[in-house]
Amino acid sequence: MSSEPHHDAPAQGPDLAGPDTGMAPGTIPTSGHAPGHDEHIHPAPRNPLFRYIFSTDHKVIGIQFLFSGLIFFVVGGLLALAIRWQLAWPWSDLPHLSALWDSSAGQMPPEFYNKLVTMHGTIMIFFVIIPILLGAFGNFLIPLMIGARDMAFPTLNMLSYWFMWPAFVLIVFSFFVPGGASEAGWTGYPPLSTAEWSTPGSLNGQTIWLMALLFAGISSMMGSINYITTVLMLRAPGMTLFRLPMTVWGLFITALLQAFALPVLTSALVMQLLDRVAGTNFFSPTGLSVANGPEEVGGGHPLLWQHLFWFYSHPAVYIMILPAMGIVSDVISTFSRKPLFGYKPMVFAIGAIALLGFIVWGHHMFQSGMNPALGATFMLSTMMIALPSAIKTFNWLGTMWGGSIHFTAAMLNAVAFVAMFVIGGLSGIFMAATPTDIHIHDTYFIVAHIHYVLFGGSSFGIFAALYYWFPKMFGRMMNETLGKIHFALSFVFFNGTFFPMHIVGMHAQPRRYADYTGFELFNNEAVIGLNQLMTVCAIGLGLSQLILVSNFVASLVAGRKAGANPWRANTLEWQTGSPPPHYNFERIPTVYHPAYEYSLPEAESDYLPQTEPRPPRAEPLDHIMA
Amino acid sequence: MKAWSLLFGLTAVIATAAFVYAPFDEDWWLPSYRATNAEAMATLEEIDARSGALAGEVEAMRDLGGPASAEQLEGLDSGRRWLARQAVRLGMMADQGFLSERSRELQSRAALASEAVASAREALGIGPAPAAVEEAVGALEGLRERAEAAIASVSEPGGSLRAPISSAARQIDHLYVLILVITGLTFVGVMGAMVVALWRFGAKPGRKAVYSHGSLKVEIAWTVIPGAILVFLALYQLRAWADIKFKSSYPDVAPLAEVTARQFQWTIRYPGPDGQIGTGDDLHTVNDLHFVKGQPTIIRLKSDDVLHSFFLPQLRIKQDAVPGMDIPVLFDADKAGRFELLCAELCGWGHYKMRAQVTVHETQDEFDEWLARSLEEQDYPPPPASDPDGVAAAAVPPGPGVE
Ligand code: HEM
Ligand SMILES: [Cu+2]
Ligand SMILES: [Cu+2]
Repeated sequence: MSSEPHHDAPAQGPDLAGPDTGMAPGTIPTSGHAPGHDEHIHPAPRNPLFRYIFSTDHKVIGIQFLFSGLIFFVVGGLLALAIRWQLAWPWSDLPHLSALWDSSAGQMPPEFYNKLVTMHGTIMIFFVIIPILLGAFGNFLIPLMIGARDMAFPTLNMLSYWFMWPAFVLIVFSFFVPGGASEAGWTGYPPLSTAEWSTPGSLNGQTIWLMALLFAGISSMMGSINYITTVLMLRAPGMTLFRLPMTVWGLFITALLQAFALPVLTSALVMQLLDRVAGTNFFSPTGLSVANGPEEVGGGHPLLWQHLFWFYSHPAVYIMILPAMGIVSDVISTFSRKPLFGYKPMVFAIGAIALLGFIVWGHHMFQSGMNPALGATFMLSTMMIALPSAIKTFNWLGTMWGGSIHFTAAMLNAVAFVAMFVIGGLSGIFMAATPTDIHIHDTYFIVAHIHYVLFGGSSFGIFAALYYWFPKMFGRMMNETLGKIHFALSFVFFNGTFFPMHIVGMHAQPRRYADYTGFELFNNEAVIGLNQLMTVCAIGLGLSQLILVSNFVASLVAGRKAGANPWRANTLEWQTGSPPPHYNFERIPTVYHPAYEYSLPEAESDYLPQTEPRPPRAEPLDHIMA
Repeated sequence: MKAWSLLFGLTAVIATAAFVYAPFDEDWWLPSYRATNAEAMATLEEIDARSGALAGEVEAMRDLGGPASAEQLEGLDSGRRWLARQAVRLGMMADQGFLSERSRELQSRAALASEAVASAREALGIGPAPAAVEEAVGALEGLRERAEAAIASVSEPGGSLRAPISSAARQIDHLYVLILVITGLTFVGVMGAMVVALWRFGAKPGRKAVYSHGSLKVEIAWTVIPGAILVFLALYQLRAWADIKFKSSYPDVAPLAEVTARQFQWTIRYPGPDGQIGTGDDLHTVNDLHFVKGQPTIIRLKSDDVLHSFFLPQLRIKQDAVPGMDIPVLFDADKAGRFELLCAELCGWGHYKMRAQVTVHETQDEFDEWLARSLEEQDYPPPPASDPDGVAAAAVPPGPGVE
């Protein structure tokens, strides 16, 4: 009813002037859309409730995901600091927080420590990294980078955000139910998680945890379907699959991974929920009795959960890194002013990671009691998944080599991503080797690995993305100096916090121990001293984020105005205003070449937007690599 | 900006150095409690030796005809002063958490002995005093015995990468070092290239970046070479994995014991005289695992409630205990001594204190003797004595919690 033609004045005046905007050249689109696509532009809703809250605009939804994710980042980070406090100074009073475990003494009870570990992991994975990478950047970037006006299913998109809210509420609420939040680890292994009396958090908290994850899963599934459809159906004319920027490839393959893996997690969550509330026995062996409770009828198996959980959660760890890999590829190429080295091999490497990602889940179960012969096959596939990761790393180096590198805050974070991902990937090989995993499994070495890939990798990727796309999202520049200070401090404190974990891990300090000093092995100055060092650095790491927050807020209100294309980048989102108008592009752009034509000798400047054809005298593209 | 390349380079250098150094350092990798508490251990050894010698000295004065000589009295005086000093040192050791309960007990024993020696000195200054001598000797002997027991209770060192102490450790540590070399060289190469790239290719006015989309030759090289290395690693390690975990490669020995994990303890059941586990004459222990040096040992691992994990760090053995499953676990040790058993799978609020003492006996005879003695104690329980060592010895910090 309200479909106005697009030639009406844009609702927000985008700054479309300037030589670097893709004023559509008069060439005929080569592929893609039926004409008339342009005719269906809806104006931005005037009612602020629908404009900013219940919006179907992918950009608004992306920013909603971003803010929710960042708020949970703070929550998860504070939980982590409480964990580190206990590890550095076991059983010492935690200043001002004793109210949390309603006991007059300031000591943290051991079950509260387990809650911290569980909720920190759960929040960081399901409420921070996945929502920010996929929800925020996926939503914001996909339509802009492929030249579409919005997602394929805008209402579904809005629902995918609002389905996170029951999850947000539940996960916070779970701290306040009798028995408190879940204590079974982010992996929720039964029977600890299913037997009500096994530990206080299994009384009620675990049920809430399961429901929260179910809602988050539904949200992710809605997002995935939308992303897959959008990338396949709504690409601008000329935007062939092999002209997609790596960010979109990363997000697209992640959405595929998610769509195929999530149903398994969802069913596992429902099974565990039924075991807890309906008396089923999917995961309880015959005659199981925990804490002198009555015997279960049983007939199930605890390892079944582990198989189902990791069938999702191994792909999930790639869900948390592939989008960041894409982002970093774009950032490094832009700031090296050099085409991405080996674009097609990079795409195939992401594809290989996704495929192999489905057949390596058993590497989390080498010591679980699973048949060791089966473990050997998972070992082989796990070794092989390190290969595409290595290829990607080499290609990033190849991109920087011979470039003209601009050390912006975004670039520094992207380079840190590469360096830290190398450490995380290489430590993965120690664990992929089944015999060495015997010693390392469930020690701090694993915790080091996780954090090198998820903080060193994904989170530095998120920082890079924030610095890079902030001008596009909010129309203003972030302060570069503050950005660099934030980066340097984060990088140093990150390594100080997590590198020693490898060492205490080799040394066998187990993960998820409220207190390791009861063991002679660990009750010595070296182990305790390193733990204190890690805690001090963790506090530094937390404080450094205040710089990011203040830079973010200050730039939001008072940052220098950004032009349409402040980084002089090639991809489509930079060829429209900052922030882009409600319908993204005044005219749907036409795409002439891949995203990485930097420093083309025949071009006038050192970049060539995808909307401008390559100069006729330029040599033809290398079709094997680009 | 060169500073940024330096930041990355420096980080890489420190990381490599720490990663390579730490596991090879004897005092670092599973260091011995003895080594890291050398001073306290020296105190214990000094007490062990000198209180024995002092007891002999006092003993010699039992049958004196008259008052002790000035020289003898001087000896007793210095002995008393020495004992008082030890009591203070032991108190400090207890405060610092060194074998807290034992040190505390030793402290009071040392104080007692000091008093006993003082009163013996008083009495001997006047005339013969066999009763006082007896008392002082008793106190000194008691002190010596406790000191000896405290020394024996401290775990053996061992298990660094340089000196593995079990069959599994030899294979695993060899593999670990191999992977360390391969990944270490890769890391140094990659970070080196990155630092050089950042150093050399910083933006300069007038220099344009190279326009290149890559090179097929290079891509093939850096796919095939790492691929080959990874395949080699995968195949190479199969042997160790099979030896450690495949039932088919287990030696044909009867299981030593059945180890059942439960919240939050290890209950262990050894076959009694009939050699069968599960019969009435079995020996049951809690948090106390014994086996014999140099013998391949198999235990059957079970769980009574939730998941747990049987982890012997120095011997490089880890296996989850799963309710409903009965998993044979194979291990051995080249070295007699005392080790620690950890639970490595989150099992509830008391996970962190699921510790058992592991004793590796020098000989089969020693083990048999221990088994016979323990069976005897189990069958004819002596009147409830103080807590037998080991059951409550696991240091449990004062965490509040519900049982
Ligand atoms: C080079 C590729 C990698 C290899 C060979 C590898 C290998 C492994 C292995 C074998 C484990 C199980 C260790 C154990 O529990 O004993 C593991 C755990 C883990 N990995 Fe990786 N990994 C790689 C990359 C990644 C990436 C890219 C991520 C995420 C972004 C990741 C996240 C995790 C997490 C979160 C766990 C721990 C799960 C838990 O037990 O809580 N890994 N990895
Ligand atoms: Cu995995
Ligand atoms: Cu445990």
